[in-house]
Amino acid sequence: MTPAIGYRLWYADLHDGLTRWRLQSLLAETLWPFRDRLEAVCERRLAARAHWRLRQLGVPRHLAPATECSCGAHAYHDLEAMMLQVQRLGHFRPLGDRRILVGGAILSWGRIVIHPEGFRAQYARPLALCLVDPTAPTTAAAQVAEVAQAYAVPALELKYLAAHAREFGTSYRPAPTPSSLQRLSRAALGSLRQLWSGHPGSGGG
Amino acid sequence: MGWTSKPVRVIDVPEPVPERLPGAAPLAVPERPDREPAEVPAQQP
Repeated sequence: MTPAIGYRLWYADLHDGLTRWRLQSLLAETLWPFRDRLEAVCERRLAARAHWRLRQLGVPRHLAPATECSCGAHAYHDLEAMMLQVQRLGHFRPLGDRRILVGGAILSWGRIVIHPEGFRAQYARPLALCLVDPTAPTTAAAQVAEVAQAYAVPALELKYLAAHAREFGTSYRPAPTPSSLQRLSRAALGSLRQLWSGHPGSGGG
Repeated sequence: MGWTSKPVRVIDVPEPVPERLPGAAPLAVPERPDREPAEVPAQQP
């Protein structure tokens, strides 16, 4: 079975002496190791050790990723989904945030839990990085290149990312289910109706 | 980035060979000798 490829985002803060050049996960604040694989650990389980409320709820010991948890190294199946997240994040950047948003492709293996929009993996490693934020300062491209060098991966333009990733693995994006196909066909039909209603010759019965 | 949907499948993928990993060290190439091999004296019959 071929390793899985996916697309995801990180933060990098080259002004921070502690995390300099390190890719940092957006939510879990995990620092990805240089030139090595990241082994996913369930942080909910780790948090339960420290927080009495979580301890009361009980988080059973498990290997990441578990199907009934949200742990694991996350990645989207598609580049387009990653870019939609860039748009969403653009609205929530705090003022004075010096971190740069870094996009990239990852290679994953071990236990992989596949969802319709992406997957959660036991092991992951960056394949290539790219600048994804159109509002980033002019120095951001050079910063992405520095981070890529630290991980020994290329810094590519976004348009070359998928082709590069396919050299190493394959996508495990599930085939669309009948219900999602129905949704798509309904949406397409709605668009056609809109077009038709706007057509000059459509007024007559 | 957490997924809100339910998982559809779980797979187990073996670790890729190191040569197929990004950032892997290039394969060792035998070095070319930087000098001519020493002449071997011809054997006397």
